[in-house]
Parts: sequence; structure tokens; C-alpha cells
Amino acid sequence: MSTQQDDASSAYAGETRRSRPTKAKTKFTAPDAPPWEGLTQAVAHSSNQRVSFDTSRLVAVGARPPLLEYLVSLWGSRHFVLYDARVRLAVSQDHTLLGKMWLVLNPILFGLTFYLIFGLLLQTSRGIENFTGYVVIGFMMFFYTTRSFVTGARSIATGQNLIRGFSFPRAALPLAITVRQALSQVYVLIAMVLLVLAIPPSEPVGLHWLLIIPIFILQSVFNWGLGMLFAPLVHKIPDVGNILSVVTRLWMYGSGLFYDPSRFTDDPTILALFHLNPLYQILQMTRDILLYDVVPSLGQWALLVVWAGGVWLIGLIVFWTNEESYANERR
Amino acid sequence: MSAAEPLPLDPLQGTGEVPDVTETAALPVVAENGTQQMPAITDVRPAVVIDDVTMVYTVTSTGSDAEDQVSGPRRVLRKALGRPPIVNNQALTDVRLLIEQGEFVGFIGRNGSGKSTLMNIVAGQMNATRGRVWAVDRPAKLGVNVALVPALSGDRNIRLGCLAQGMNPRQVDEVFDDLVEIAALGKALHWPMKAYSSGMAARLRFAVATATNPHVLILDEALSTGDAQFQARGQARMHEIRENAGCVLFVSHSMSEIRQLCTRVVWLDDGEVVMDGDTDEVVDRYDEYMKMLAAGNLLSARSYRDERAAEYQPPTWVGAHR
Repeated sequence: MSTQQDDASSAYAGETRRSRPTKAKTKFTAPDAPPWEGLTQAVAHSSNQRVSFDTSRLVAVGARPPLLEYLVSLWGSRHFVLYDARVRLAVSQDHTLLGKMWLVLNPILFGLTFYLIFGLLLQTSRGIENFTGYVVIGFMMFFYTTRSFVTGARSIATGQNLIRGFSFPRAALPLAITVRQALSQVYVLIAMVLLVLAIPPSEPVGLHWLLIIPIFILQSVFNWGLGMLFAPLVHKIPDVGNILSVVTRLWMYGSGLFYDPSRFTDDPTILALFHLNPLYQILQMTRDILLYDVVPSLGQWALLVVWAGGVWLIGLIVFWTNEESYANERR
Repeated sequence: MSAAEPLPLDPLQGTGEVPDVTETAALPVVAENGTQQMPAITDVRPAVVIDDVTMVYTVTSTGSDAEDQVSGPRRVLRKALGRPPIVNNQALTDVRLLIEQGEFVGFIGRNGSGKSTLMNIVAGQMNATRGRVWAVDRPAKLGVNVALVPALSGDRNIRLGCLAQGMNPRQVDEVFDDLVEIAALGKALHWPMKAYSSGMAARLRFAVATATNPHVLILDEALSTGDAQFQARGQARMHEIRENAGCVLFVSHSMSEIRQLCTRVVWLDDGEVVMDGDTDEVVDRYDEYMKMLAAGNLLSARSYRDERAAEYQPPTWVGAHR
């Protein structure tokens, strides 16, 4: 035995093995660069041989690619996103008797309850023209965002099996949930239009009703951004998941689902806050189009575009920055 | 190395005693008998390089204060809230391995020795606390936990899994029938996966994982739930992957399986490599060790293990100009 090995044996012996200093850093840290950083060739020594290998063919497992590359790979996973969204929506009602019919029935029954309460029982309008339509649109458009927001924020937890199984840009998970919610919202929108037409006073149809489509698209982009923005946070601090429902409830009262804020206050700052709220704008624009034959102003469109684009961009960057942390499971 | 973070770094990191990169290539190696010799450098094609991987888990523990608790404000906060403490659990310590293409490496060790943790890190499903894994290709891993989307039927899970690996719908259509045949699930193919037995789920998962012809396949006791027919199919598929310039990392507690399949075996214990080398030699030593443990000779078993660990020299690597 050489002296070298005697040294080694004392270093490894007994309990001293365990107490070798290792910083207990459990937080995600930047990947350690290999000793061959910047070189195309490396030499490996082991006890009985020396070998050299080409390092340029090796890639770091699980490393986060640059943003542009990330977006390209996200585009590459579009088939996965669409399939995931489609089949999960299709099986979401498999446990029921009526199955997929609930995708249409749910929003229609939802809307009819408002007609029952506000249109038939209370017969109140609170000074709002076509109040039943006002409330139906309010709820149906608002709950699209909260559904998408809450499920998107939890997408890392619900996609844990897929994360453990396969490598794909993790942004595909909140995107798949956004797409799934958007697909189900299509049924809701159809039910909404039908209800607006069916519940008196019925409104005249016009070409400008097609403006619902860009609103829907902008709202979906906004939802996608929100999902990406909150998914890393909920993954890191699961407690946030419980707070989300409080946030959405506050947001609901701040979006004028069943009242017009200008009836309650003249305070310009409070009114300005309402008008800056993207969901309030989405609700108002949809009501203008469907109920009041008004084409939304350029200012309203600009506000919505800025909100959707801004939240999407910030959400994407936040989600991408945390890309490697999604592999860390909570135990 | 485009995927790596560009960090300003001493190219000799991790070697310590080596003074200069260019000299390293000519550094003599001390042989067993103490004489100096200069083995020739052979070029190899690594499939996986595990570079100094250390893993420390944090878990909530209902145990005593004797454990290694996390320090800092987090500990104080949890104590103040009356929550159970979070403790550190060192699962892997400085693991360095170089696995070449065409190798079939078995990983053996007791329960809790760090085998699955290492496999998870190699597959990129877990971030190492320190160190990194480098591979020619994104490794495909097949673990014991194989459920995909429980509510979806088997055929939909196959399709979803293939798409998740970056295949496009046309490619999926091309291989779909083959995969159905490999999985051999019969009518269960159209049942939701939550109705599957663990062996059926393993079949399906295996078919999906090998659909893309991965260069690096990790099997973490994945075949153990399958029947003889599935194990034979699985082994045939693994040989194909090896022939395709790939490598297989294989975790099993069945020593006969290890002896039969592996070209090299790594024995892990307590998060560290105890032995790394020829299959029969390592498995013989491990069997010996396990016999001692089973007989209750804990002290002699430990010193036996420590002797083996002392003989083991981890590989070191440095960058070199050519």
C-alpha cells in the first residue's frame, strides 16, 4: 500500500466521512462550471488509466437555455400543449353521466341563475339598462380569468408527473392550462351570446359583435402571463396558493361585476383605479359591444394591449428565470 | 457548452494539486507498487460525466433535535410557528463518474444509499446542491413511479408522452403501432391509467421512454414490477440502445440481473462511491458486505466497506488544449 492510499483511508474512515464540509445550500444556485469550461478537450485521471474526451459534445443536463432558445423550444412543444389541453378538457367530465354536455350546460345554467335572481325575482336594475345581461357578461368574462389564473398558478404542482418524466420547456405547462381554459371559455362565450339574445330585452346582432374575438384573445394572453407570473411563486411558497382565492375575491369586487362604480362614488381616484383595472375594462368593453351597440374606444384597446403584453412579458421572464427550480420537489 | 452559464472560473477547479493545464497531460500517475508510470492517453467518448455531485435534501422531521437542522431565519420562524423543524439529509457526497458510450453500468447499494437520488440528478429531474451532470443527450429515465396522467387512457398517455418528448404528431403516428406492441397491454390500452397495475404502467412507461431512441437510458428498478415476458422485452430494447452508441444506467437489487446485464458496476453506500469497476468483482464484494450485515456483524461490515472505499480513487478531470 502506498502512502497515498493510507492518506485516503484516513480521510474516508468511519464517521469522518460524513462530516466532510459540505455547505448545506438547498436553494437553487447557478450551475457549477466544469473544469473544462471554455475548452474543447478534457483529460480524466483515474487509478489505472488516463483518458481524454471531447467536451464540446456534452451539454449540461437540465440547464436553462437562453430566452430566445427557450421560446423556440416552447414553440416546438406546441403539439404537446394542444394535445394536453384538448384531451384533459375532454376527460374533465368523464366521471359524470352526461359527460361533455356539461361543458355547454355548466355556463348556460350559470347564466340562467342570474336571470332567475336578477331578471325574474328581484326585478332590480340599479339604474343599469339590461341589468340581467350586464350581470351575465360580468360573471362569465370575469371567471374566465380567475379560473385560468388559479389553475395556471398551480400548474407546476399538477404537472409534476410530466416534469419528472420528460424534458420540455416547463412554460408549456401554464400554456397548456391557458389553452385548456380558453377552449372551455369558447363554450362559455357561445352560451353568453345565446343568453344575451334570449333573455329580454334581446339585443340586435351586428358585425361589431366580432370584436369579442380580439377581446377574448387579449384576455387569454393576459391569463397566460398571470399563470406564468404566479406559478414559480406558488411552487416556492405553497402558502400563496391559499391566498389566491382571497385575491380573486377582492379583484371581483374591484371589477364591477354586478354594479356600476360610478353610481356609488364620485371620487376620481377610485374611479381611475376601476378604469385601470384590466378586468373592469374587459367587462365594460364586452357589455358595450353586446348590450349597448358601442364600439370600445382606442384608449380602452390600448390599455388592454399594454396590460396583456406587459403581464405576458414579465410573466415569461419570471417563469424562465426560475426554469431550473421546477425540478426541486418539496418533501 | 452553450447551455452552461458562463462563469469566470479557474479551469483547474476540482483538481487542487495540479498546477498547470498543459502540464497535466503529462502528469505521472502513482501506480499501486509506488513506481511512477505514464499510461498513454486514450480518447474516449463519454456519454455521461457526473462532475462532483453533492445533494442535500431538506425534509420536515418529527424527530429529535439531534438531527442537522437548517440554520438561519427559517429555523427560527418554524420554531416560532410551532412547525416541525426542517433538517438536512445529505444524500450524495462528491460523486464523480465518467460513463462511456456503450457501457451498461449497474448501480448497487443498500436502501437509502443514494442510488435513486443520483439517477434523478442525472436525468435532470432534480437539481444537485453542488456539481453538475454533463451528457451527450438528454437522458430518459424510467423509475418505479411511473404514472403519467392517471385520468387519461393508455393510448392517450402514449401519445402525450411522445409529444412531451418533442416528437411531432406525424412521428408519433409512425411509431405508435410499435409502441403499442412493445407495451403489449391488450384491451387495457384504452382504459384510464389509474386502473393499471404497477406492472402494466411500467410497460407503458417503458414503451414511451424508449420511443425517441435516447442515448442515455436510466432504469431505476423499472423492470422489477414486470413479468418475465416484459423483462425479456426490456432487456432486448436496452441492448438496442447500447448498440446505438448509447449507455444504460441500471439500478437494481437483483444481483443476478446485474451480473447478467452490466459491463461495469458502481457500489454506492451512504451517498459515496465505495467501488467502481468490473461487474463480478464489485458484486462479489457487495455480496460479502451484505452477508455480514445480514449476519448482524455491523462493525466488521463497516470496516469492510471502509476498506473498499479507501481503495477507491475517484477520477479527476481537467481541461486541456489540444
